[in-house]
Amino acid sequence: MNAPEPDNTDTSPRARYERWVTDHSVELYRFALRMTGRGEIAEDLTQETFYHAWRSMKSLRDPSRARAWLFQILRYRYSHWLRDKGRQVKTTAPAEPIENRPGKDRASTLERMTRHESLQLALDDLDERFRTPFLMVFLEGLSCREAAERLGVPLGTVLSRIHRARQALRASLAQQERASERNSSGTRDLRLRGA
Amino acid sequence: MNEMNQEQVELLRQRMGEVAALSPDNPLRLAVMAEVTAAGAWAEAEWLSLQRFDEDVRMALRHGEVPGGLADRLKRMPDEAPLRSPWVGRITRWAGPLAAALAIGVTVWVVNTGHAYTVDQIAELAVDNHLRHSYVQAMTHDPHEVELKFANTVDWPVDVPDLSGEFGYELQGARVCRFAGHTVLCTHWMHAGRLHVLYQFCPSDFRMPMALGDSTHTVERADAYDVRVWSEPNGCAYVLVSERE
Repeated sequence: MNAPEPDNTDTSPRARYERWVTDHSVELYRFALRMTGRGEIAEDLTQETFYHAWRSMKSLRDPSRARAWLFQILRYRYSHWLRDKGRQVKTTAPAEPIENRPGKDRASTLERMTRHESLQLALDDLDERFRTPFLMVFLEGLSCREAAERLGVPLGTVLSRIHRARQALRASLAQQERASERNSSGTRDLRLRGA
Repeated sequence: MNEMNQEQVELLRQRMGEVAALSPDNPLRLAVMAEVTAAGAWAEAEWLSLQRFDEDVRMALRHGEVPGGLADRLKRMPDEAPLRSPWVGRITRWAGPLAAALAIGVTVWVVNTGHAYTVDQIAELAVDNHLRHSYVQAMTHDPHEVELKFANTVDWPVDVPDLSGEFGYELQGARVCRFAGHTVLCTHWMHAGRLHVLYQFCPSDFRMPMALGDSTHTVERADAYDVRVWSEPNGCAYVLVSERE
């Protein structure tokens, strides 16, 4: 759970808006990126979010809830985007091929997740029902109960969906790992045969 | 270590997965951790692995390049979409009585010359409104909040049917809009990944009978829309516009 933000009611609307950009644009962009898997879409959604926040600034009655409000707008813009895309949300190929990975210690697992975007590929394959609560808790930083309240579902449903999301992510990452190892050993065999 | 059969092992694994994201002091999580300790080394190793995975994912999710200049572009956005100038408010203040008089005149003219709308025309107005406007003025999942927020905005009782329970729709928000000069309340609902827009209006505003029955229509625009129109004993009528898959 996030601590309430400082109350900026005594600043001008423009100053308050710029403070939101400074404080929250990076995490909103990353949330959009993880939801959509595409940088240019994430940037568009972030811009739409701030545009709507600026235009409807007066509707935010409690400025200390700005972060939660911005995330709410972003999730709403995302639902529109999903609708317009007909839910055909798939990312393109990873930026770098997943091969020649380092060893299996914990640091290298984290490194692989971040550098090769294997985590994003796994997230893209997740069903929307599981991805949203997972990211609300693991990236937005909400508690499971807060996520349940915002999604309008019971806490048990959120816990179960997060569990299933985690299972799917682990399976997907393991599958990518095995595929990468097969590629590496295949290349090695070809080299041996060539020799 | 207590002996557990396969079913008990799987059950504990599931419970571990479900409570792992809860806060450390959550009673549910503490109860499962006690079960983990009782189950022995294998369970403790899996619990640790789960924790490490979650920690890694949290860190990895926060990794990623942010486009250069994004914050600057966002900060410049108000220049392109400025808020209303204070001068507009001052002009509005003295122009208000004039506008009110004009509005009364227009209303009298519309009432005297207005025609009775048909259910088909209402269905078309709803689809056209839906295509022109996609925003909401209040974002909420709670129909009661919509009723409270817009109670003083319209001159008939706001009564938002709860489509979430039996029908499984999720309320996204609401706004007021105008059909042919008359105020209508619009609520957005999501269901199975599709947007459904529900309009509440007063039939007498459109010179329609109070009881409209219950009818379904198809309105063709660039896409086809399913539209249902019905009235309720509360004196209001509803139009539900659903996008097709």
